[in-house]
Amino acid sequence: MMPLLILLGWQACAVSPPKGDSGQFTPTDAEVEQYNARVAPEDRIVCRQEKPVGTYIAKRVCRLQVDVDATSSLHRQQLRRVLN
Amino acid sequence: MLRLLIFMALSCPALAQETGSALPYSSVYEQRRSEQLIARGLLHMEAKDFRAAEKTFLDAVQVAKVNYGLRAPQQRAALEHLIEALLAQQKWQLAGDQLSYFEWLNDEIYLRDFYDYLRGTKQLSELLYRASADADNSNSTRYLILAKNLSWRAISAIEATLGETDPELVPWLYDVVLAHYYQVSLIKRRSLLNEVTAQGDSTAYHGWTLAKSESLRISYRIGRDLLRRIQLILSTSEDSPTEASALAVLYQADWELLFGHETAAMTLYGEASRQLSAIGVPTDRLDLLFGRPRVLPEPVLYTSVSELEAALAEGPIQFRAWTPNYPGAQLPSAQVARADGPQPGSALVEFTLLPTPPIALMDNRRIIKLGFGLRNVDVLELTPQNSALDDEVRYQMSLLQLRPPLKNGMPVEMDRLQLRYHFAPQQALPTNRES
Repeated sequence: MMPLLILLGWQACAVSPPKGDSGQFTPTDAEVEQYNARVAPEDRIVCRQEKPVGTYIAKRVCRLQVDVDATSSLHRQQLRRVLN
Repeated sequence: MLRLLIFMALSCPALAQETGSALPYSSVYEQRRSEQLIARGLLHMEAKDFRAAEKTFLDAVQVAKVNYGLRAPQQRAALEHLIEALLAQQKWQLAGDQLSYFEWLNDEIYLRDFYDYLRGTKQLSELLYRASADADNSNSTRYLILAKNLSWRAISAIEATLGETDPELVPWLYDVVLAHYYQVSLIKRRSLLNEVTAQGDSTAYHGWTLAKSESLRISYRIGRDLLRRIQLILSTSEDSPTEASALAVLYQADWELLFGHETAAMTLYGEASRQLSAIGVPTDRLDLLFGRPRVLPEPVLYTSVSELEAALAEGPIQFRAWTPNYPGAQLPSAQVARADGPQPGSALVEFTLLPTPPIALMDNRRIIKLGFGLRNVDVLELTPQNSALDDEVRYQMSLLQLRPPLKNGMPVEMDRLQLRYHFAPQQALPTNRES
């Protein structure tokens, strides 16, 4: 019985993204850090305040770190192309 | 007959002599030999012969593997010492490999014995802290982050196995809080600070400036949330809930003070004192408890007043600096201390601790005030005697944050306080001071 309970516990420990992806609620910094500590680097998320185009009101947005890196890299490339 | 001769040759004490063992054994992989090898390795460590120690501990790990199995927890004792020997030789790559192996082994133990997994996690966390404390290790911050992630995984495991409000979570949550403090203390490295003088209403304030980075704010928020969670867990646990939760408020106040939120800190100190008083802790006992300032953050989270009282020793406040990597941080525990290097010395300092009026502090929000409330710092003793060290002690003292002495929940001035400052191993002496 005990090994079964432990196994269930381990299953429950399986990775699931932090709650609140609806835009109404975003995970806290602690929840993000706890989640990132359990997943592979490509699944890590980063949350930050962003100002969407057309408003000064910042909003907390969470994205995959790899997406943020890829977007930054793309923007750098485009900027370099324009400047050259 | 030939087999018998071979067996005798293998089991005879001559083999033991050949390998330098004082005790004979019947087989190179005999179970008790692992313990003998560990004992011998520790002697090598004491003699600072780290190379020999490494080899001996490596043999001990192999013997434990043969006797108990590839995934057996019995390897951990030898493995821990092996990593220590590698760290002492600054073999970072090999130490990193063995740390990864330790983690893999510990994860294997999770399914078999949950509490043993937690013990192994603590052991590994202490090893990672040691690796992160080495001033010569360019990768030291990485080990701090690994230790913090390890604590988070232990928290996830406890939540999944015992529940999200189990008191077992408390020390692990506090470990993450401390890890964030160490992370923040990285910015106190002298090269990252600028000395400035700012003008308040009528008084000039002298301090150090630093752009408040997002990571600083994140660390503050995470620490604050975790301490609130600790308080919530302790207030619902059966074992003297109010005393433990009142003390948790004290730690919340400490956290606010560490991040320069003096007004919030004073409110919380008052709240902690009121709660303790409400559950029947006599005023004179409270005055005694809060009359002895402590260097923050406390490395241990005390959940009972008697535990906290026991930790308050008579005589000067003792402060053991951990490492130059984390300025102003005290040694987390004896298990994390380095035993392989010389201790650079100590100083006895006398000072006055003042409660600073919150209104003046509100004007300087953008300044990180180091050494809040320290005045009339006087260096009474220096070991070794070196006049240049005097400035260094004063600088190191300015990095410390002390819990203010409280009377009836209100901070009061305290004169002629003494603190024994033990320099961190590897502390660069004043001649190496950065400009």
